[in-house]
Amino acid sequence: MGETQAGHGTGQASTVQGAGDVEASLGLRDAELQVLSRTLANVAHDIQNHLAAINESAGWMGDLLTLKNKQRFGWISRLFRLGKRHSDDIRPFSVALDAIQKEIGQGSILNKRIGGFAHRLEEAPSLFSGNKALEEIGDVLLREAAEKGIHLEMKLANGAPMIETDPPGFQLAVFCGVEQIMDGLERGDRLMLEAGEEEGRYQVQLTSSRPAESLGLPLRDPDGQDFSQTIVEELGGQIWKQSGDGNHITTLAFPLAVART
Amino acid sequence: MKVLLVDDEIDFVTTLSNRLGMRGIKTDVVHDGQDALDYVKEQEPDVIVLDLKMPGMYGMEVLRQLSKTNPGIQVVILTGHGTDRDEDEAQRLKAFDYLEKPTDIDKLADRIRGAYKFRLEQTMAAAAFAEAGEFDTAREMAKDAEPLKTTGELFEDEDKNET
Repeated sequence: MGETQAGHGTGQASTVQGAGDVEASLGLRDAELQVLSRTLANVAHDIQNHLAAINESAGWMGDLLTLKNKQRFGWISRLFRLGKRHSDDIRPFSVALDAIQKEIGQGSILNKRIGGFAHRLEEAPSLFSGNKALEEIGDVLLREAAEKGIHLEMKLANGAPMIETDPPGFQLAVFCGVEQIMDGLERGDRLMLEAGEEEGRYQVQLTSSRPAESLGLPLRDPDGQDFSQTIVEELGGQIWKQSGDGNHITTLAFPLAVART
Repeated sequence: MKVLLVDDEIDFVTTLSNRLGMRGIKTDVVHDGQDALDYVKEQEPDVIVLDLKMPGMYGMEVLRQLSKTNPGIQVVILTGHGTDRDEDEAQRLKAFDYLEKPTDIDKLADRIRGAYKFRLEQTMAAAAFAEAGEFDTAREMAKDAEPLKTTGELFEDEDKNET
């Protein structure tokens, strides 16, 4: 990741700071990010192991209850073809165990996304699923939107092809694009994120329920450029914006993976 | 069917072993990669359920060595959270399947049975060729089996139905 991200803000930054200083500080930031990402990935992995252990223990208790039930009422169940139905004294335990396993399942999905996001920070440009990368940042964005009272909806097309680019750069570009738009929205406003293949590219389209002029200024990089635009262009993609009918649409387009021989 | 579970999380793997036992799958358990390789030298299992992140030897290294020394053993990866790169590497090394913890016990039991069935089919096919005197083909069959391309697809449909 180091080389790719270090390239994001260099170039003409010498007007503000020496180019060497900027590169040095970005290099340090990269190193810090790598340490953080590895720590986060390890913690997420350990949490996953704990969740798995709790899940198995809950499952084991369920197995034992089922076994006990079968031993006591097996012949009745068989006679009346009751299948796996539990008796009244066992049912509350069974319901509680199901609830535990359901919560573990949901916690596990969130934790996997955090782990996936952390792993991506370590990755060099690679072939990856844009949808999966968006799901990883989606939880954070959905939570933030909910806190702001904004209706954020994500629609990721099934079967979208893989893209080949810098994964954290891709996530950061979309993240900044969504953040900028959300900053200009008010409670009750809508924002739709749609992603999929369009015209031979992987496109992320952000449609907000307000025109461009009310959305405020984009996040800027050290050169004063729109941060999302800088990243998207560095990744070989394009970004364009259009307004009409009270809506504003920002489209981030990324090149698909070149077929490998 | 001889199944070996390899995982350093002792509570987890003990419970897993008990639960698989209840489903008619008897298992042996070891807690690190080197012990797994030592076990394989003494008594070759049909299927290994292998964690990736373990102290000492990383699970992927165990898989790499097994693919050279015992390519007939079917390996199901069961990891806390691997990366896309791990999954690609497991596929390249012809792991039978790649699952993430926590997984549904019945799904895991199905994968283990599927892996065992696949191993039997490979062995019988190789034996048939060997009996017919086609030893090179028999050897190639044992070496070049690509489980993820065949059984993996079968299970994908099952997963979609579950979700």
